[in-house]
Amino acid sequence: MGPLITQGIIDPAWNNVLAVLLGMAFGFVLESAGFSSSRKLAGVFYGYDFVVLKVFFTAAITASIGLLYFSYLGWMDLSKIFVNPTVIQSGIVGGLIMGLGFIMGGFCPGTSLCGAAIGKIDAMFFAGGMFVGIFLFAEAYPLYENFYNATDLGPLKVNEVLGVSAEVFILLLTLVAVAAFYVTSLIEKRVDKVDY
Amino acid sequence: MTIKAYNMNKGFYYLAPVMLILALGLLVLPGRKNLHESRPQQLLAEVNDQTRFLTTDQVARAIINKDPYFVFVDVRKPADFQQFSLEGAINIPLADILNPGSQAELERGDRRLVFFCNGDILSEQAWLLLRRKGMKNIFVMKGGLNHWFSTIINPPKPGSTASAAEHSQYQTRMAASQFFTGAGTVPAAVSAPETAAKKEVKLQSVPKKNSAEGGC
Repeated sequence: MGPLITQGIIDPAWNNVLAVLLGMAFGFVLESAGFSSSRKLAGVFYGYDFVVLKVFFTAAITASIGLLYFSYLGWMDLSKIFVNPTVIQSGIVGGLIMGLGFIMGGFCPGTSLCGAAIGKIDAMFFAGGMFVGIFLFAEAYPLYENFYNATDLGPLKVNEVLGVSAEVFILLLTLVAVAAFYVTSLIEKRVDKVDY
Repeated sequence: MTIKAYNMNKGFYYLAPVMLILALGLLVLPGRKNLHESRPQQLLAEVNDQTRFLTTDQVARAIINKDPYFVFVDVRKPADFQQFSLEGAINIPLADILNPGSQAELERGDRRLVFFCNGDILSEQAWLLLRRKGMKNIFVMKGGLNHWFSTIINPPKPGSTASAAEHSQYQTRMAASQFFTGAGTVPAAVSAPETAAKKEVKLQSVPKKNSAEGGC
């Protein structure tokens, strides 16, 4: 067993159909979590709302624990899943640009589409700007092609770099997450509630 | 909205211990190797199915056309491989076929693997071992190299009562024989033709198809 498409259990022709359905589900959950509000998203930066941190930490832990259990039960072949390659230079520069855009606009790419879908005008501008950015990036690509592709370390896994097993790393991550949930809930109690 | 946020925080009080218990559970689970094997009944049905066999004619056509999707895997010993093998074939001896290094080589890219040896015995074993591991797109050259020599390199001349199809097949085989042994010389004896001697063929790496990348 394993990832359904790479293993040939689902025909690759379903790729885009499934992507649309999963995208709709993802958008629905983002909206339900309140992620279509730029104030909520920016809250984690200014320190009055940590829902973003909690949601993404929970998602990461749920997914990683779930994957390991699936692998243990033989439902999932972990060697077949896609691991994003680690590219140091473009990772750092891209992260800075993304972070700057995130705090300026109050959205990340996915949540801006969520916001646009429920009629938020700032989100529509953000999504428009995103496409302008994609266009400019692609047009200027030859200028920084070498920089962009340099220091590609391939598909690294954190636990392999640290030299611990995946199970130990996930336990540590869970402990960090629980500590983060506790600390942020203390901070949220101290700061004034923001209504939005 | 503040009430909703309050509830959400409450939720985390229950969620955190559950997550911790599940994470701890992973640690205490006894180690288990996941063997990916076909079910016995299914494997038995596939063993009886003849579609895994490629004829020597099909193999000859694929080699002549330089079909990039076929990789011919010689499962005999390296000494035999050095002596003679099919053009462009790679050598993975049967004894090494389940080694991780061989696995990586075999699973590279989206290709069809065709196993062969002198007859059918080693290649059938290689096929069975890998099919049991769940590998797809693997085939066996029916009859092996012995059959290769008696059909492609030295095709028997059809009798006068043979059908047109058999004559046509004979013509194709003669042409293939000239392709593999060098034009103009059709060897009489079943021996390794020198012109088809081995050369190290570097396989082109076919990049693995990645699934779609995700993001927030």
